[in-house]
Amino acid sequence: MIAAQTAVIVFAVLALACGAGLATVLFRQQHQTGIYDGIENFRRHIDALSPEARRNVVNRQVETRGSDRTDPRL
Amino acid sequence: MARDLAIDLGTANTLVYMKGRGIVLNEPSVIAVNRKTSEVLATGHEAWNMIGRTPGYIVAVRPLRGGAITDFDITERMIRLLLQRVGVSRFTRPKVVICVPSAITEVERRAVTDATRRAGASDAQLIEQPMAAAIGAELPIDEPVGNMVIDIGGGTSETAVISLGGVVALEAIRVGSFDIDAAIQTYVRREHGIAIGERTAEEIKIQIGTAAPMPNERGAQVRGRDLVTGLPKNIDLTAEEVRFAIDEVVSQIVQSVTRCLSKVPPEMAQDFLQRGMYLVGGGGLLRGLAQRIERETDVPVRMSPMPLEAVVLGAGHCVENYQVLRSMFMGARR
Repeated sequence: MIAAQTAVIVFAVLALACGAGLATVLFRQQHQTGIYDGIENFRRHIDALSPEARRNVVNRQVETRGSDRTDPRL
Repeated sequence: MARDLAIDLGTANTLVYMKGRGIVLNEPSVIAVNRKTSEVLATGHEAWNMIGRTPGYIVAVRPLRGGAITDFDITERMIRLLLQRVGVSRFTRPKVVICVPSAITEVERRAVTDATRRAGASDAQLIEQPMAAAIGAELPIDEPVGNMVIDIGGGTSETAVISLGGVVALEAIRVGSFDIDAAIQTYVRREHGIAIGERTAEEIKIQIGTAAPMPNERGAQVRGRDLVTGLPKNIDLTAEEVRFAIDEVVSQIVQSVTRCLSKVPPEMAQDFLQRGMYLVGGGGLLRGLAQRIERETDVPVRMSPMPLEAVVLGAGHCVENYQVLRSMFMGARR
């Protein structure tokens, strides 16, 4: 009886340890910076600054120019 | 759901850009307060009209000088009112990107973000004005070429060289178009013996101010108060006199541009000769300034198509692409 209980406890501890180890490995893999991540992020950053990406913001202002807005001063 | 905002909190004017809508507010950075009760009586154009014409118990002030907050409490109230006017309520807390001078100190930086958060923003991020100006002026900053932008505001003048979305060289001075107004006031007081207000000095600058000799220059009649008799008096002021009066301030601005050029890697120098540099900001509208900078640096100077809105449009673009362009914000990891 005691031997069976001990076996269950040992098994449970081992299972927990394995689970925790697996979770740590998965977590670290997910948060590890890949060799291409810097390139990807830089590309996205540069693309967001391209004239095409900025066109909407400027065009919207060009369209609304000359409406009821008061001209600012120097 | 609150729409995120970009604010160009300038010494002279405040502009607000709302995500998905564009510029929704553009007015002078002035607030009128009742001295006795500390109540806010007016902001923007209404408060600007009060400058120099208020009774003793009302004070119309610009809470920013040289791009920095001089009165934290009044600035916070001004930002709170601005946010309310563009539809921000207690339940809608937007993310806000604020344009600030690049020469801002850590203390001033914290003052601006704290004032904005306390005024109702869920997150407040800062972006350097020349960077925002370069984005808003549609310069090809995504390419590996030197883009030079000169932003002359009310209280600061900043020159920056930008390539591949980052600042290569930067030069900032706390001198701007308000210093030009002050120089005109000092000159008229010293040479003609009359006192004029800051609004009159600004009018003189707009009407006849030049940074370099221009064709068809004209003079103007100026009204002020005689310093000896205390009575109203008219004087005639020529464009040449105004140019002489503001020359020292203009020279400081031109020298800061020259210093920035001298910091640039030699590879980029040829980019400027081909592409020129771009003037933005209200101070850039001073007649003859582009010609003066061009003459002293031998680099072509071009006026941005939207000099007054370029900074807030650039910050607005960062609001539209908040996650991707987070690294452009001051203090962000690059």
